[in-house]
Amino acid sequence: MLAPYVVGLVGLVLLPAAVTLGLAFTEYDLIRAPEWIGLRNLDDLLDDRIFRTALTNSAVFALFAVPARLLIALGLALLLHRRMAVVGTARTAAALPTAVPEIAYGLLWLWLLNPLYGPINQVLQLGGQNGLTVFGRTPPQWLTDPVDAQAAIIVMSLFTMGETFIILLAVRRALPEELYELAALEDATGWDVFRRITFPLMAPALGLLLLRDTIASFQVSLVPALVVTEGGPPPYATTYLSLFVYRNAFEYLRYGYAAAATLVMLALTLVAVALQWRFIRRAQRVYGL
Amino acid sequence: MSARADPEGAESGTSPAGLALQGVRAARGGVEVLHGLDLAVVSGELLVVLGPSGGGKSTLLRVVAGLEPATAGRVIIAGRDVTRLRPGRRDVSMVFQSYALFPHLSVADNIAFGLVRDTPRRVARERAARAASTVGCGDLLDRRPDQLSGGERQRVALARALVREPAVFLLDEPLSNLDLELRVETRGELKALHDRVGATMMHVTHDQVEALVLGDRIAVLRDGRLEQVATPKEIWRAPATTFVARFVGTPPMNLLPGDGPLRPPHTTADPGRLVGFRPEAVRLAAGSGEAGGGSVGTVERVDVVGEDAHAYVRVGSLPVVARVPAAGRPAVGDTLAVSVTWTDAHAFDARTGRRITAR
Repeated sequence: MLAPYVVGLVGLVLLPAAVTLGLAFTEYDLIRAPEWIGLRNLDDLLDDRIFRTALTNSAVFALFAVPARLLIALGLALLLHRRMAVVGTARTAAALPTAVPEIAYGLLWLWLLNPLYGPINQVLQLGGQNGLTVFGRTPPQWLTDPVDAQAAIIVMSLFTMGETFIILLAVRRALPEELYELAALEDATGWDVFRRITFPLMAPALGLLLLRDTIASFQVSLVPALVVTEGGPPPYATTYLSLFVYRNAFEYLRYGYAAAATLVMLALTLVAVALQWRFIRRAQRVYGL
Repeated sequence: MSARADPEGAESGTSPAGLALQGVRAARGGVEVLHGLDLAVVSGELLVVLGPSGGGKSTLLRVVAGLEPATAGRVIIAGRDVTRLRPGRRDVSMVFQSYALFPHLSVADNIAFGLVRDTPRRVARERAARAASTVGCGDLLDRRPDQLSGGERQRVALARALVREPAVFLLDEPLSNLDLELRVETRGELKALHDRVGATMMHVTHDQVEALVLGDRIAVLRDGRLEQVATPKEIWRAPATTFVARFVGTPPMNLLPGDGPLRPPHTTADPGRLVGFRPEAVRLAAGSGEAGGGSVGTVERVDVVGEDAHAYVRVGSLPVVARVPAAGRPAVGDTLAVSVTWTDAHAFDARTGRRITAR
C-alpha cells in the first residue's frame, strides 16, 4: 500500500538529499566530475562574508516574521471564529493572499513598495510636504535602504499566513462552547478567558505551527528576496540562506559550495527545532497537556 | 392538594423565592421557544423541570443562567432582578450535561476555577478540597479530567458548582451521561447532597423517574409552556393535563373516551370527557365475565419487564395497557375480561385536555 509513496520518497527526496549531502564535500560545477575536497567547503563558508550576512539575515527574518505571522493568524482566528455578519468575507480576505502565486505576489509587492508611485509610500506621504511623511521624515526606502528592505520582506511575509490562520480557526472552533459558557458563569472576562482557557487549549497547535513555520521560514523568504529586492540592497541586505544557496548553485554553478550551505541550513533548522521542542515540552508540563 | 409553594409571592420582586421567573419569553433562531413562563423556586427547594426533548427545558435553564437572553419578562434571583446582568453577575452555578471540565486543569484547579480571582490561592484550594469531599471526590484532586470516569467527572462538575456557594444551582441533565446503575446511585447522592446543603436548585431532565425521586416539586414543561407545577405526589396522583398524565408513568396512563366501554360506575356516558386510569389499575381475568363492570378485550402484545408484564389489550376499538405480574401474564390472542379498579381514576376534558376535578 505504501510502496508508491516509499518509492517517491526515496527516489525524489531521500536520494537527492543524500547526493546533496555528498556533494557538500566536493567541488562540482555541473561540467567536470565532482572532486572530493573534504571539509574545505565548510571552511570557506565560515570565512565567507556573504554567507555570514545571509545567516544573520535569515535569523533576523525568522525571529521577527515567525512570531509575528503566528500572532496575526491567532488574532484573526480569535476575531473571526464566531458566526456573525460578513465573517465569511473577512475569513476569505484573511486567507486570500496565501492563494496568490508567489511570483505574482512578489511582482505585486514590487509595485506596492515602489518609492515613487507605490501606493504604500503614497499613503505614508499623505499630509506631509515635499514627499515627506506627516512627521516630516523621509518615507521608508523599501527597495534601496538595507533595513527598510529587510522590513519590507518581513511585511510581505505577514500577509501569507492564511494557512496558519485556517488551522488556528479550525482549532478554535473545535473547542467546546460549554467551557466558555462555564467561564462566563464564573465571570471570567476577555483576557482571563484567553489566558486560562483559549491559550492553553490551543497551545499544542500553536507549538506545532511555531515549529513548522520556523522550518519553513528559510523558504518563505526566497521568492520575495529573489523577485522584489533581488538580494539587495547592498550590502546583501536581503540575501537569505535560501537565496545564497540558489545563487551559488544555479547562477555561479558552485554546486558543492551550495550543498555545504544547505547542510549548514539543515543543521541550524534542527537546532532551532530542538530548542523549541524543549521549550514546548516544558510549557506542556506547566499547562499539563 | 398538598402544600404548594406560592408562585404569586414572586410578584413583589422582594419575595423570599430563591429564583423567580415572571412572564419569561425566549427565542432560538427567531422561533419563540418559551411562551411567557411564570415559575418560582422557593429558597432551598429542588425544583425539577421535566419535559420531552425540544420542550424548552434547556433554554429555560440557559435563560436563568444568562447564557441566552429573555426576549420578555424578568428573572429574579434571591430577590434581585438579574434579567439584564451578565451570567457572571447572577450568582448562579451550573452543571452541564457534558460536565464542561477544563481538560488542561487538574480536578482541584477545575473546582477552584471561579475562585482564583478574588480568593487567595491557599484558601481557594482549601475550599476546593472541601467541596470535593462533600461530593465524594476528595481523593481525585490531583487527577486530570481525562483520567476520570464518567461518574467521577460528574462529581467534579458538581463540586465546582458547589464551591462558590451560589444563590441558585442549575443542573442541565447532569445524570443523563451515566449508565443506569450509576445514575440511580448518583441520583440518590444528589438528593442527599441537596438535603444536606439546602441549596436552591433547578434540575432539568427528561427522565420522569428522576424527576419523581429528586424533586421537591416538578415543573412539567411542554412546547415552552408549563403544564403543571406540583409536588411529585400531586403530579402522580392528580395530573393537571392529559399530557402530564401520559408523560409521567411507564407505560403511560390509559385515556379512554368518556362514552367508551370502560368508565367508572355510576357515571353517565359523556363524550366530552376522557377517562384516565393507570396500567396498574387494570385487572385482567380469564373468561368473558362481566364482574366489576368490565368488558372483553383481546391481548395484542405482551412485553415482559422483569417481574412485570405490560399487556396491550384491545377493548372494542380502544387500546388499553395493563401492568400485570409477569408470572400471571396472558398470552397474545387471549380473550379476557378487562376491568378497572376505579379508586385511581382521572377525568379530563376531551377538548382542552385539562383535568376535571375529582368527584
